[in-house]
Amino acid sequence: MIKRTLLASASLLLTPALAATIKGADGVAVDVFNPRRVVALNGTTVELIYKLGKQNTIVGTDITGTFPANKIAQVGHWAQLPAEGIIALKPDLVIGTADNFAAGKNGVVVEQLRGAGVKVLVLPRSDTGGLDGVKSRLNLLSQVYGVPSAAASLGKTFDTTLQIVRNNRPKVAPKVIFLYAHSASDASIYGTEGGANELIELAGGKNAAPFKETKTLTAEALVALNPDAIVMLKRGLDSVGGLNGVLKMPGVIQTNAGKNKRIYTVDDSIRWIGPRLPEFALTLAQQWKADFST
Amino acid sequence: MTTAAVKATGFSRQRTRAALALTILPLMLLLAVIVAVGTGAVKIAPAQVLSIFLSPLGVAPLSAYDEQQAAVLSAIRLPRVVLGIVVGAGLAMAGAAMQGLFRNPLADPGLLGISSGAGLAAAMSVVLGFNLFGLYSLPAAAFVGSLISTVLIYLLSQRRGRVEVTTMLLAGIAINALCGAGTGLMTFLASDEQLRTITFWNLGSLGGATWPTVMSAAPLILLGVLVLPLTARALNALLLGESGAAHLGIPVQRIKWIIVTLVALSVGAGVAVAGTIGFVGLVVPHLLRLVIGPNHQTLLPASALLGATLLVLADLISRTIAIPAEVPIGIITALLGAPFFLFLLRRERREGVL
Amino acid sequence: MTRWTDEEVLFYAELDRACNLPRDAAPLLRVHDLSYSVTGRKLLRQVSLNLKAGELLVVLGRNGAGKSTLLKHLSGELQGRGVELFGQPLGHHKASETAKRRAVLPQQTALSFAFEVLDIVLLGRIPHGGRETPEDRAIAVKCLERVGLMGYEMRNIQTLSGGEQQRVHLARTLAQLDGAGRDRVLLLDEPTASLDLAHQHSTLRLARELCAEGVGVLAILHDLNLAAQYADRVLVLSDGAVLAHDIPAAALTCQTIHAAYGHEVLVTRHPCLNCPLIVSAS
Repeated sequence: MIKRTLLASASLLLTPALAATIKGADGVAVDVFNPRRVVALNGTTVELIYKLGKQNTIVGTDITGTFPANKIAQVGHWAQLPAEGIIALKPDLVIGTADNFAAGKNGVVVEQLRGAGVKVLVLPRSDTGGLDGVKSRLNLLSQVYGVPSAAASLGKTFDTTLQIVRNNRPKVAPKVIFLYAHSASDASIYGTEGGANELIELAGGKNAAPFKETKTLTAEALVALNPDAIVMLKRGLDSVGGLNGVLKMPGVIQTNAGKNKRIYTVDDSIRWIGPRLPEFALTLAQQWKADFST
Repeated sequence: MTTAAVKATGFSRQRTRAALALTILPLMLLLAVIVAVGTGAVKIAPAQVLSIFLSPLGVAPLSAYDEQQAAVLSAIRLPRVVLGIVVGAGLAMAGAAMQGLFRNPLADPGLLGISSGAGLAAAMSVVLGFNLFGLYSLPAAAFVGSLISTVLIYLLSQRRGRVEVTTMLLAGIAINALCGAGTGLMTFLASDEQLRTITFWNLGSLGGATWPTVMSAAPLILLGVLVLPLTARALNALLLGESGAAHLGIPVQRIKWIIVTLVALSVGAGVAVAGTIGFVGLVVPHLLRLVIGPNHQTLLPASALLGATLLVLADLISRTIAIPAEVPIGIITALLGAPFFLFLLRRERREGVL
Repeated sequence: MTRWTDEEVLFYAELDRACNLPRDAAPLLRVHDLSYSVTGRKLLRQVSLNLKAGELLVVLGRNGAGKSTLLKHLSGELQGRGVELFGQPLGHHKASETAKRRAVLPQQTALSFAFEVLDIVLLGRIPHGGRETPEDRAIAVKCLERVGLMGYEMRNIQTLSGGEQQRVHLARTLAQLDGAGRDRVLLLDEPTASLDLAHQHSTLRLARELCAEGVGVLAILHDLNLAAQYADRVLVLSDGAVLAHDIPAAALTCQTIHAAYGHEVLVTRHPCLNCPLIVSAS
């Protein structure tokens, strides 16, 4: 205990004061002071910290924290966070998102962490709120690390990319289905809530999913919806056996998307809205612009 | 008469082993608890563990420790180990009692719809957003669900004040199927996050154990663990069949009601706080029966002891095999339990016991 | 066809009297006008019987004649009006009290668990106290000896033959009735069904020994000659009704047996024993 206090005072002398009190999305204010060991939960949190150039502070993440490629210790699935496992990483701050902390027993785990003297900062939800949500999380993180200018310039970059996206959208919005497949026989559709929907709309498509949640869709309903484009996760496309596999899935070949082989893939992390959303949207928008201009 | 008396005290394999088991099992549990309390992602040396335990008594620390270690030990690891003991004891003893009641070594508290009812209620509370008890809403819902399905099965299998065990089995299958369908519907309605919550709940975990969790579940589970052994002789008599037990003066209907109630309360409470943890209730009594025989007077307490030991160890594996991550305990118990059970089955068939 | 002479009938009647307790003693078990039907089918029609202390009453009749249904009424599994045990309507006594003085041996008891034989016999001691005492164990061992299974105490019941298992359960009922005073009743449902010739006789000799100790024994049997040889009286049931309730010599006539079983028999006198001998005539 004494040793750690000494260490902290030493760093106080070396760097400018960075103490700040940040109010989390759960209403709990967290005093942060130049965090050096951070457990960053949710892949977008990791990405944002990388964007701020503070990746050296990350000592742990969950199974979604895979980008950029790293060797950060993983504390397991985001829906079942281990209290003791996180504490064992000796973090001076745990940062996660409200949606992840709401799953399973994570609410209790947050209490346990705080009970053991570990600070936990809850960021707003990562599965909704679009790019503005990303910005607000970025904003909080920049306060944590005392780098508000970095956040501001990143925000500008987003806006620039977004402008390019807008200029590259297809003239007529294609009807789009986001097919979330684990195997050829186990596929569902991402609904009109969540990161996938944000991506489709940003890129200038129209999500044809007739529901909000992630649900299965019968082959007949798929034919009836007749999407012009089908978007999939990269791993989803692999799991059904690539393009040929998708076209063999029941109902797909009867749709416009199937007939014209309009199958697109996006990054696996898309369901959580992170800083790469504008880039993903740009790629997709450019593809659609090329494919749906006639 | 004297020769008879001498013979009566003669060598009984089952009794000798039972006496031995009831001596060894408490020691095994103690050992498991010591190892489990001293092991975890956060390093706490044995001397520090002892110092932390002794500090409320005003004993000076034998070895320096920091506050966080004390907090981890007393607020995270210890409630978890205690919950493991209580839930494991409850599951195994309830399993033994159910197998006795149904006169079937493959019976399981699941036959009473406890897990499926709890599963449906848990899924409903997650998906429909039941939030009355804050963080404890899901366990509360699961507990109520387990009781409702058990009561339903019990009422359905009742005819003119008598409960038919066979009807109970069939009613249980039907109610389990219904609950399964309801859970399926909830899964269908669930968002991705809710789905994860349901999935992990079904895999079982002692993670997130707190003293309030322990205090809410322990009284109900301990009620079963302490009272069920009092029905041991009646359970022995029930192995002769219900009429056979009645001829021995056992109040069969009342005993059935008592056993079902105690099992439902203790397993319901266990499932509520730890999710569905399979195979403990099935494998533990089965294994013990092979070693110490089917006499419930020794089988019930021995099951509780071994169940507690096994769950504490399974949880130890679950939280240390992938530090800092955790593997759901239901996976551990099934991975250990299923192959072992198959091994027992094959061995028994070879020896012609089953 | 041989008919019994009046002399002979009288002889057996006297024998009957000789081995019974005084006529005025209240019966341990009395059934009066018991009828029972299930979904319109009459299984018992106005059955009356009595069982006295020290008496061996054998119930005979073809399959489906109502023997087991009658036994279920006597053991309390089925509740009907007109059954009295120890001078009170059945159900008047507490179940635990009744169990000290009335034991029932079912036709078959299949055990799904590997009990040791002694533990099975000790189940019979349940009505006599909450905990198992050394006396209980001594009684259990003694009862095993009485059924000829000494040394079987620690054997696994599931490894025994059907007949041995049946005798273990007989020992259990003996243990149940042990040391419970004079008025005791033992109900046996086909106790000789899975036994060999020697054990059939030893089992019925054991039943007679119990009678000598004052126990009233009621047994369902299929073997008419076993009934003739060991019973004090027999009760012949046919289609739920009592056809005869008398000493063997009086009850086991060609006509009664033919009426009960639909099979022609010859009844003659046993060449060495003082009892009827029944042989098939067709």
